[in-house]
Amino acid sequence: MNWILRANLKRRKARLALTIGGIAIGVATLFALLSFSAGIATALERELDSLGAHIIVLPVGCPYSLTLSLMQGADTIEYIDEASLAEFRAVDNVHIAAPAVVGRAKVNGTLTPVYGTDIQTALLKNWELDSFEGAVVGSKAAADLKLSAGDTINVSLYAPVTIPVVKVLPVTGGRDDTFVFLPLAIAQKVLALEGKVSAVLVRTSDVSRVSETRSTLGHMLGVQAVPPSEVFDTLVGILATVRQTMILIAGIAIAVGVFTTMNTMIMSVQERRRDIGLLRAVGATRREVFRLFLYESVVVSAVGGLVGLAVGYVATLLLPRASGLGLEALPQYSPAFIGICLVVAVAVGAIAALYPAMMAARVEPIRALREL
Amino acid sequence: MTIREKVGLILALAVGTLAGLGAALANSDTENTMSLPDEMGSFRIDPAGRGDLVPTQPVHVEIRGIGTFTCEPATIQTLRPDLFAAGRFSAFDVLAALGAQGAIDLVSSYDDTQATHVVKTMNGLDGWWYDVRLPGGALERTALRMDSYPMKDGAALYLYLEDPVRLAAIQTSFRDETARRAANGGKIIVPTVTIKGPRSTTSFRDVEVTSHDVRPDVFQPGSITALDVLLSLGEQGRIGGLEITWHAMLGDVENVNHYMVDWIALPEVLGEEDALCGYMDEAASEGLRPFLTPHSHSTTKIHLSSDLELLVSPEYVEWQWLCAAS
Repeated sequence: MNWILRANLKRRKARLALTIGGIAIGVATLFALLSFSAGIATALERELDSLGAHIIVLPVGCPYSLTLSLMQGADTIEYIDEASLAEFRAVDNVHIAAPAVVGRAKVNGTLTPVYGTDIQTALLKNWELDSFEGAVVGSKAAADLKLSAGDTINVSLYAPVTIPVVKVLPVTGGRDDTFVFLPLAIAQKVLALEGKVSAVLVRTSDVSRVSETRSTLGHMLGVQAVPPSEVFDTLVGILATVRQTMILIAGIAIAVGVFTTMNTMIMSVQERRRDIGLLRAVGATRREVFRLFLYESVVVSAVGGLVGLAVGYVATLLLPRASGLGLEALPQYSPAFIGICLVVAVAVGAIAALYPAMMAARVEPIRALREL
Repeated sequence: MTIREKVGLILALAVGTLAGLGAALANSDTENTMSLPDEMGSFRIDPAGRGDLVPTQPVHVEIRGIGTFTCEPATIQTLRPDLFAAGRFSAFDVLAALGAQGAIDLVSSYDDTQATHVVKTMNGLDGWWYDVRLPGGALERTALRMDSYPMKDGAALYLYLEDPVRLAAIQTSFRDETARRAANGGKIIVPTVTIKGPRSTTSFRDVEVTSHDVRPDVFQPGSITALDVLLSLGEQGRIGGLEITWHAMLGDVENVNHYMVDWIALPEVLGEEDALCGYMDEAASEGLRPFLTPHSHSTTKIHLSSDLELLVSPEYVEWQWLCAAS
């Protein structure tokens, strides 16, 4: 059977290439979609994890946009009174309550996200600092601004300050890499937010009581308390809606692949009626003829799937990295995605071959041979 | 989070200058609800008996990094008498008054290309932008011209240094609008108007918008607002009708005094008799979309409504069916 298959495939090379291309486009779209979706979810999870908090206390407003602003280093507009910090720390089960004030300021003349906080954030993020008296610089910010520990930086926006760099953080792969962390009072002065904080990151002593602690914090005046997991679920839920649209597009591309392959196979059956007749005359059963065409279609689709995987991989490298939530997300690859794409490709081949293979199996040998 | 909330949130993530929905919609004033067209087939609204208070309360102004000020309305003269009715003024007018009083060192000018007054520097710093907190509202990242943003009685003004990239996008959007208006011979022709209803979306191309003088208490005759987009669509027979309600109050907030759109018929009704839902508009340029405010539908705060949002010539206007949290 293999030699018949090879001979058939060599017969119409251009048509074969087009059929493979049709399947490859659908598979490439699916692979890119799966890789990006996983990458965005991972990036979001990583960013929320990097906050190091069980609960985020935010000013009243949309908690999701406020959390995104916090992660991106964008101004939150609404703020919490810094005096409330002592009240948060006094709440039962609050182990760490780290203030955060975020915004963009000029660091040595370059607009950079800055994050004002205190030593409690060093504990949350395991920075191994005994005190927080100078700037702690994320790895990417340090590379971009050509900074190392011991340097002095000028930070300015509403007011200028000069401060030494006490530490350059190792690469985290997240937004922390882009921040210049400043002592709270310094950041507040630069951002003209004296007495205000954008958020307070809370870590509890007893994780099993997070819900109760959240409720207590959330009932305090002018604030809301949100667990990062809830923000994650909501944002992933929003992305899921976008993903459903993308899956629909991938589905259309795959459906086009099915019809392209079916069309090719029907044409192939029509062209090879005499060959089928000969095969049947020399003893091939209907089932063997059916299998031959099914096998041919599945092989073509599998090749299309492999090509699609390669194209999809290249596409994920070339497409922009933005997630749509202001977070940079790298595509994430998984053997499962490769498996899903190949199964889809083979299924496309099998489904597309059913009707043509049945047509081929029904060919009457005598009638076909008369056409010789 | 319910599906409705998720849909609302995803819509809201894409919008910036959202006008007018509050959870307090529940307190709608049915006596002031009107279906258009009226019995005469007109899409014009009789403004008699409806109007907003002329500002009399001192305007609270917070300029980040500079200080907090109050400005008496009596000392404020509008720089846009072509837009505002007597006694009315814009957010920019408040700032200009503070500058004239010597409270701040303001350098500003009128930019023809943007069709608006721009702040060049304030106390030596450049890159300022503004937000307004309406009574019962919250600060929001507006992308409306500062000299056409009407200040309501009791509204507060907040100025801050904007991200230069976002500020540039806003200014580009303004220049695009001015160029579009000039290209259309001074007419406002919106390339795309989209109505995103609860179950379907409909778009209209090249919609010419004309004035219906919906707010003669605030604006000069001939002013064109975002609400005029729907009224023009109605007059052109491109929508079947709509229902709007005049809200004197929303929830516990008094003197709200604006119209809100309850439903739109295309001709099938897009929308329903739901006190917690309504249409909100967004008018902007495509290039501004990535910089518009993430904004939750579930806010209980009051925003600038479509009848108070003056248009120059936006690239798109979208009406979105959003529901406030119950």
